[in-house]
Amino acid sequence: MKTFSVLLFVFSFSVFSSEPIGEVTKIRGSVYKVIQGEQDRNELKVGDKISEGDQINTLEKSFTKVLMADGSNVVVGPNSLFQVKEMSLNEDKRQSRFELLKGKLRAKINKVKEGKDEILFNSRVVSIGVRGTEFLINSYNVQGLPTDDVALLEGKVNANLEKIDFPQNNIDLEPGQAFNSNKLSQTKSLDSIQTLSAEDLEYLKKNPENFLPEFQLPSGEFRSFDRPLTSSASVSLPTAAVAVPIAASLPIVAGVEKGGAVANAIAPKRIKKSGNPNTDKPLKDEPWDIQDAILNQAKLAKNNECFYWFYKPIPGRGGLERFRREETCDDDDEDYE
Amino acid sequence: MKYLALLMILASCSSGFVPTTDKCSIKKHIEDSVWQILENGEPINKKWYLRTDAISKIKRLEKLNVCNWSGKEIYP
Repeated sequence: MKTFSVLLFVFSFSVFSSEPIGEVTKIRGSVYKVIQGEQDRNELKVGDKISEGDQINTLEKSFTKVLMADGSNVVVGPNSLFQVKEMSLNEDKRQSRFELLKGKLRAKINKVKEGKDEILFNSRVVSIGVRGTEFLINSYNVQGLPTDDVALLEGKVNANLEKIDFPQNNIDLEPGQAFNSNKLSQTKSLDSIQTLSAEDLEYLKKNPENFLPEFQLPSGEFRSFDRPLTSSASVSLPTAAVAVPIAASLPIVAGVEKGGAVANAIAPKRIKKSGNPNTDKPLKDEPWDIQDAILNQAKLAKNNECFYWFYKPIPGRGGLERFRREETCDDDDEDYE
Repeated sequence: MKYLALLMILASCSSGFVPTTDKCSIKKHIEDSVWQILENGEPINKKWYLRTDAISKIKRLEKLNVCNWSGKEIYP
């Protein structure tokens, strides 16, 4: 019985420990923390502590930098959901498990003892075993399929690819190498691992708050590496997007609809800075599912195809998620659902 | 032309057609560039559309005599 009690205590400590394992050192925009098992979210500020199980949720144009207890730095980019699943430190061994549920992340992991430390960054598709390193990950959806980009700046990482259709379960990346999980899956070849140009590497290294541009475009095409990643010319905007229903598990925790409680004031007609009647923002600042719908609106309308969105809560995500679906534009009968 | 108008009025009377007085407007999402259609200030469903799609939809609802496009665009 005594042994059982001790075991129970150890178990409860490891699962429910709320000892801080990180501290927020920088914030831009709106960043929230959702404590495991709780529904509420709290706005984070510099100096706030992060504990095991906490979810960090950044909104559009927001990011946060967290200094972990082992001296590593994790920067969570805009529109991201990141969780510290586990972090245990002792003199001999370090065991950490992080999850990027969506969005952008960059991490600089401090002094990894090979063979002793076990540091894992999981996303929905790829799992990264860290060997002492600075790397970046994006996790997003393209045409309904989750996809990940991974780029290594320094050190070494091992990417576990068991969740995708690829001949190898694991690949090692060298500094300067990058890949997109969908491209690997499509080509089934290591040749689709890209080497970042010196210019791109410099761009990503010089500012620890730069994030990796997404390698796969909403249309499904892949970004060209012939031109700098930062150049808009490297993005061939979609012209022939296939209209498929997309569950865009993209941000929205902040966009929680408050029961439709919108101020009933009628705003004066706004001049669309974007030059597009569908958005006030530059098109590039729209999330990809809306951007894609705007870009392809005219083409789809010729086939009487329109998109609509709805919002619903996803258990464990602490907010509403936006989903996109397709319908025929004149499907008015169903408007009274 | 006068007779045609008269005929149309008579036809509408005989078929019991009553033009709707309901007003439709659009409301922008609190964060995203998507819009919901309101009929007399109440959402007609839980769908959100691109702004121009929402207005086109209202134009079709006008033809169905559901509501008239008020021209109101409500921002959060």
